Amino acid sequence: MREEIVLQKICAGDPAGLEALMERYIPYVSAVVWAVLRDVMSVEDGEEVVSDVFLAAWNQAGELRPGSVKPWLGAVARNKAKNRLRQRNQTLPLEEDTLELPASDDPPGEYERAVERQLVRQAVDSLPPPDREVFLRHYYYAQTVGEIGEAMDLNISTVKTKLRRGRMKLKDILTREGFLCEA
Amino acid sequence: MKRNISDLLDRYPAEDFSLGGDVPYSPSRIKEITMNKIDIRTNKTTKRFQPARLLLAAAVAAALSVSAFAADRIFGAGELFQDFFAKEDGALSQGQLDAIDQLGHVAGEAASGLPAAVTDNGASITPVAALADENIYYLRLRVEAPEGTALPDLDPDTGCYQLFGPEGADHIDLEPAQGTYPADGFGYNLDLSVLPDSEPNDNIKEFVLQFTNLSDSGIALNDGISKLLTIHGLWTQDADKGYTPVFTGKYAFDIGLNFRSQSVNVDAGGLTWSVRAKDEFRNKVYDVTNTVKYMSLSPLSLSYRYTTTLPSGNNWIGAGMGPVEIVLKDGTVISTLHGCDRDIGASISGEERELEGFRVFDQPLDLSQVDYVQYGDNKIPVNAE
Repeated sequence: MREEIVLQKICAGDPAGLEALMERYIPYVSAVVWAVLRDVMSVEDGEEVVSDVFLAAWNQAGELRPGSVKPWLGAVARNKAKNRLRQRNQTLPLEEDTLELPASDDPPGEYERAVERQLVRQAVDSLPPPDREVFLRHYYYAQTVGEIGEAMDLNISTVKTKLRRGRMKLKDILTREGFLCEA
Repeated sequence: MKRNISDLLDRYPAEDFSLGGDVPYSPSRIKEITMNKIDIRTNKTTKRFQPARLLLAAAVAAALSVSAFAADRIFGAGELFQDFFAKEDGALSQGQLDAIDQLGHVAGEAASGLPAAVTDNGASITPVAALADENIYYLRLRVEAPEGTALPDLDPDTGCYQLFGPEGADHIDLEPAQGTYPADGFGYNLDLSVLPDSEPNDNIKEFVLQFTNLSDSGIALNDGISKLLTIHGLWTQDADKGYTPVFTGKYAFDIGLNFRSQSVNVDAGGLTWSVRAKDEFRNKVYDVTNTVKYMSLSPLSLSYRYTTTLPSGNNWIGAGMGPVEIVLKDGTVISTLHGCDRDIGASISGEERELEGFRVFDQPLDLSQVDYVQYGDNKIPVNAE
């Protein structure tokens, strides 16, 4: 079934559309959720999170656009899984995940957040393709260094080197624009 | 203040990579959980009134053999669709039945354009009644399997009847006459309801096909333009989606009929509804205002056209008409509406664009009983006396 038809069916409230969406994307959404939650939650609880992602698609059908369904589902899956982790006071076990931001008396406004997102995007997009993939696999999809090495046929030290380069790039751009303190 | 890189990437539009790895989650369990949840949330009625099948069979026979006047007097479209629309806790009102009678076509009526029964391989399919407006089309079919074939009611947990099979060539098709609409302009969503009957061990079953209009702007389901419905047989489908044919053949009907419109205009032009819509993924907030350009009400659906200030360039928020309810004179609120909005491509200015859409009612409305339409904070009186 073409994606346009799947979306039309969901939009029209036809459960067959949701079934078709799940048929196509359960493996992807499951992989995103699993990479974040791992053994922190039971398999059954993880499946509930995956189910919640598709319920979000069903309930917010108007937000789904042909061609951008997969990233939409991926972002929602990642978001919901990370929220579950936070509810359990857990964080993602990532390599040097923390950057120091300048202390500010005021919370960042809409403009500052927009600029920050733009700079993050600029930093990630400027990485060479293999470094960028390693960076996103780890910091976006929460894959471990070992999993990335296996998936991309790289040894662990190479993966760590590429992650370090990505962090430096991000820090460099944000620091130049005044968003980060020099560590 | 410390920030996590993973959080900084929350709104990054990442493409997917082949993530691979062993994921212990069960796809079938996820599907089951999800479908159970939407079963609870959707308000669809799967069980229908027990139809008077014997009476209906007599009606079809009468309609096809005696004078149209006599048949019309005995069974109008309202009576033929009552068991489909009415919930178990009540029947349709006389006003609702009259509305369906005025809109619908019944086999054998003098003015009816309903096509005749088609027989192939010993099985027959008969269009019994049809009902439509521009947005939704209901067709009641009587399916008669070859003599000696029993069609019992099936337990919905273990199986169901389908008027299509597993292969593409077995699917139901509704095709407009070539050249009548722009290429790829015609589209629809199909729902199929099987009506339980009082003679579950004979060879007859009845179905209602429901086509929801997903076509481009300007194409209506009740426009009288030829539309060929082709059915390739009857199958049973088990819980694992395995199909078993009951009979196969070719059963084709032109159901492109003219239907009398009962639409009334609702004086809503210029009314607005505003909402603050948040793009959760990019943390962007849009102050959206919709302005109604047109609204009309038929017994089967509400149609509308509006402009919106929601920019089309955003990736995460779809435009929508906003909350609409129909309130009847006895205080009943009709809010369980479903439908679709479509961008009709007209850009009013750099910041506004125009959309149209519709919402379909679970049961036909007696328009004379509608008091007003509630759109956001706007109360719009309706006078369809």
